[in-house]
This record gives sequence, C-alpha cells and structure tokens, in this order.
Amino acid sequence: MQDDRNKSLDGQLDALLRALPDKPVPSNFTARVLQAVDREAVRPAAPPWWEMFRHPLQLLPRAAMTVLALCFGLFGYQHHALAERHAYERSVEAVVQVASLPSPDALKDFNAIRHMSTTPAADHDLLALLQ
Amino acid sequence: MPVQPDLDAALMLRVKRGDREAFGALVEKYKQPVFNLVARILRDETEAEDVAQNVFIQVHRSAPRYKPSAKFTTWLFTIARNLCLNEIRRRARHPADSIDAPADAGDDLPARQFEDVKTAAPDAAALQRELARKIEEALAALPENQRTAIILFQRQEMSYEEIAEVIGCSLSSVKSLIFRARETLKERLKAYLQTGGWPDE
Repeated sequence: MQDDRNKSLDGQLDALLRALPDKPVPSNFTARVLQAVDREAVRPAAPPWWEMFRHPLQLLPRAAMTVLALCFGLFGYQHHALAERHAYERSVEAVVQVASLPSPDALKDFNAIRHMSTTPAADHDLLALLQ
Repeated sequence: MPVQPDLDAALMLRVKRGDREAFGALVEKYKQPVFNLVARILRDETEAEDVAQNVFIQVHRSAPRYKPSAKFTTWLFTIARNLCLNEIRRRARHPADSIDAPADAGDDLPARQFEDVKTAAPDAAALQRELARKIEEALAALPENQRTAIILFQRQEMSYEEIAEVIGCSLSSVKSLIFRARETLKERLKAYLQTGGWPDE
C-alpha cells in the first residue's frame, strides 16, 4: 500500500518535472552568440616576434629602458664582485698574520709561566737595593 | 530530449573546420536545454543569458580539441555546469555584483515564461502557473549538485553515467544525489501531490 503510494508520488513528480515550462530564451540569442564568435575571429592575433623590428623607432623607449636596466645590473654586479674581492683580501691578510705567530713549541711552558704570574708582587725595596 | 550523437558529432566536425552554419545549427538546437540548465543552476535568468552565451563561445573555442568519441551533450553540459560554478564562485567573491538574491529567485519569476495557457481555462492557467512556481521554488532550494543531477535526469533524459561525467562524480553518488533530490521535492510538494491542489496559504 505504502509502496503503491510512493510509486504514485514518484510518477506524479516525474510528470511535474517534465512538464515544467522552458525558460524563455531571448529571441536574438543565436545571433548574439554568432556575433561574439565572429568578433573573436576578427580580433587580431598576437603578431609574431619579428614584427617588432619592422618599426625600429617604436622600439626606442623599450630599448632605452632595457639598456638602463642592464647598466644597473652590471654596476650592481661589479660592486658586489669588488666587495667580495676586498673581503677575500682581508681574510688572506688575517691568515698570513696567523702564520707568523711563534710555533706551538714556544708555548709548551705556557701554563707554568701563567701560574708564575700569580705569585706575590715583586719586592720593590729589594729591587731598589740591588740596583 | 532526443539525442542524436552522430548528427551532433558531424556538426562539431564541421565547426572544427570553421563551418559557421554548422555552429549556428548547434546553437539553435541546444540553446533551450542549455539555457534551462544554466538558469536553474544560477537561479537568475539575467545572468543565465550571459553564461549560456559563454557556453557556446567556449564550445566554439574548444572545437579544435573536440573528439567525436565524447558524446556532444555530455561535453556541452559539462562546459555549461563548469561555467555556472565559476559564476557562483565569482558571486561569492563579489556578492554586490549579483543582481538578485538567489533564494528569492522563485518569487519573482516573470509571468511570460508560462505562456502555455491557450488551451486552459483562466482558473486552470492560474493553477498551472502557481504549480510551476512552486516546483521552481522547490528545485531552487535544492543543493546545486542535486538540482543539476535531477534536471539532467528528468529534463534532458541523460543516463546516470552521463550525469556522473558532467558532475564529475561516481555512479553511486549520482544515484544518491537523484534519490535525495526526489525525496526532498516530494516532501516539499507533498501537499499538491497528495491532493492535486495547495492548501490555503
């Protein structure tokens, strides 16, 4: 009984959905679509790259900007390379200074000497007498 | 609606070769189903005009990539749905651009869409208009994927497989979408379906 009722409701719903009126399409719809497609067809495609050399004067501003950008780039690179070179020179100098230090053998009694420096202060009176 | 894949594929092959007349024939043949679908997905007939127009422009642009192995209507409705989803996303980003609020779309449907009243008595015509309005409202209240699925199933007589291709989901999902849509519609239209009329509002 319930199934029959459900089937009946389904059937009615199907019929209602199928009978829904169409949405009104504008009468000039096809013409508008065709016009839009025609407009796309006549729209000039992007010219090939070699076309830009046909009118060299038009290229001047662009070329000037490109040269300027290249100059800035070159200047920046040179500045950076020079700074790097100076830093390298400084580091080489530092290494040379380290190389001129006494050999490690000279420092073998370093601890004993350091401890000696903690002994009581010199007897200045005795030193004066000795002089 | 009757589908003639061979004829459509032949027309598309002609469009591919730049045949403007073949393209015009395709637009003429499918403008109504596309407009019906787009208007019901977007719930806005003004926006639907632009989107439906874009659907056919997109078809023309994509013609060189069209393969006759794909059924034309499936391909067409996939383009239509994708453009509708783009439009819905655009609306969500710019809500002020939308001309009217989607949920109210059913309330102000123009009377001109119910012109099939020549054979009906005035009272019957009014009842028919009221019924159509109620169905449109019930459809509009469905989630987009359920609405699209039931429209393609009932109005375009597409198979579950074709609908799955258009919506981009599995066959079982399509069955579930259509089942849920039917249940919701039956619930909303119960008053009419049981009695053949609306209780006084």
